[in-house]
Amino acid sequence: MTSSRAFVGGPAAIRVEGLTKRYGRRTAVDDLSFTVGSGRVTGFFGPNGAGKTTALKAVVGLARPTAGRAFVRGTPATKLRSDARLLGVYIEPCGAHPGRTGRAHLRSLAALAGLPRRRVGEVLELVGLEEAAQGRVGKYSMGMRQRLGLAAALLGDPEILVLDEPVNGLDPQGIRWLRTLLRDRAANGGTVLLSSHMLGEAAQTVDDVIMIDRGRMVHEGTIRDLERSGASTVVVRTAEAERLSALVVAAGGRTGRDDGGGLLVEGLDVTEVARLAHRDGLLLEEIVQRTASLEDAFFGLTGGADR
Amino acid sequence: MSHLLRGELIKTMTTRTVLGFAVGGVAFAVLNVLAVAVWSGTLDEVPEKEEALSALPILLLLWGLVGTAGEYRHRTAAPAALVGRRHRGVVLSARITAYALMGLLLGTLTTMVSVGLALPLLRDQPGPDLTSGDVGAVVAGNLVAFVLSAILGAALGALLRSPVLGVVVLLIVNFAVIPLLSGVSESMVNLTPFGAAGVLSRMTHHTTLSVVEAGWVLAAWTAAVALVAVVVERRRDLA
Repeated sequence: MTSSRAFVGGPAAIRVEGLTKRYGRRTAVDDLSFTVGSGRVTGFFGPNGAGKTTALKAVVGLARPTAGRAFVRGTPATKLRSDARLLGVYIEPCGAHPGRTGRAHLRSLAALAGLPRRRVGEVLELVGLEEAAQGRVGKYSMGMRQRLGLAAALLGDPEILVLDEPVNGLDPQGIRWLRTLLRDRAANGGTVLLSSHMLGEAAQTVDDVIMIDRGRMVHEGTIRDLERSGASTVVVRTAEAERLSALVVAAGGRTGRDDGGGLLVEGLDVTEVARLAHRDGLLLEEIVQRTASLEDAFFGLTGGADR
Repeated sequence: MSHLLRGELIKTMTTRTVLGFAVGGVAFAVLNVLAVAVWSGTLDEVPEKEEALSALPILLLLWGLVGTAGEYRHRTAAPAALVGRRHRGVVLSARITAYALMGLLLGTLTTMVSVGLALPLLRDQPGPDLTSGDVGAVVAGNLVAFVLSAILGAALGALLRSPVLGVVVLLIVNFAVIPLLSGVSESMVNLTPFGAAGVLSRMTHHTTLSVVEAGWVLAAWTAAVALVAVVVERRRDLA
């Protein structure tokens, strides 16, 4: 496991300690420990079958851990008194009966949660489902079901949101809307824990990253640290590549060549390389910092690209 | 608890399942009245005439089972547990209570149809007429049987968590276990929920079990299964 975290958020909204979940002989989650800070958007990533959904179910108290514990605001998840104002949860599928209308589904949940009926209209408007609310859920598209599930999670305007693959099925407009919504909630002190396999999209939304593979933790830290740890490279095009290479090596960097004949520099950032070139009067035709993507880091940590 | 009951009542009333079972229950009641009061010939004893007033309470066992098992099939049990502000056992208790209340409503509708249709037809039959006390007792027995059947079905559905499995189990019990039991001893059949509901609703008569005893038998089954369902609900994972 890698960890670059000096824990960044406020007090822990969610704390998981040694969480293990077995189904018969199969271990879905294996000794998982992590913390989700208040006022942060934390991404929970892993390949298909890594144990993300199982772990989230244990965190919100739907599944009993075989070993270990999960705490929400310091209360063990198994003893948590479910409250839509504290914890809003969306775990696929959306949990609505196909024969019921979207509005009726939310009305029943609002009543169960002891929330005023007006919240139903408010969240339907928030997720853009007012017009479809009288239709039966069985007729909804995947994106509409996703929005309905999110509406249910948002009913109590909760302090903490736990969302399992919330962008699945959303159109680009919906993805942008969700990103803004989640960032706004975090900016206002709310906490979001979301799982996703759309890493590029999630990278624009999350502050912190938890990566698991085969039920085990492989990385916990901030998104910036993860991207930085992914060995960013400077690509330089110059007629005097040999001279620049010598300067880079002398300054402690490493060099190589890319497919187009450009000089690849590792271990120095773009400013340092530019300064070296300027000092020796080298003419640079192009200089670019190529930052490792979240996908690069993800595949590096899980070996996912090879599977 | 009242907010849980309100939420669960909204759930029972907002699918077409309840409408289907209401129509089915009324249709069975009409068929039973016609079969007993019209097509079966002469009814010259009070128990035979009471049978014409009987509805089919056991249908609500199927409704409760399909309804609550569907909560797990469609994953609607999890969102309810996540917002209920009480532990899962209490949420399930509210769900079962909602089925009991709706069972009372469906039972009242079906029994009214039975009584309203059967009484005029029974006037032409020979022998002693049904007194208002007889009719009241049949109606009360049917309503109790309807409510207990709905509760028993809802509890069974929560235990089995699969509508298909539940229906298969019911079919096996009805068409294999009970005929086998009746081959061994008729009185044993009356001790099953099906047998007790039949006695309580006057569908069967001249049995070793009184109507009140049948009520206690069905209540005992219902309480036991409901208790197990609530305890198990607290311990099992929700998908």
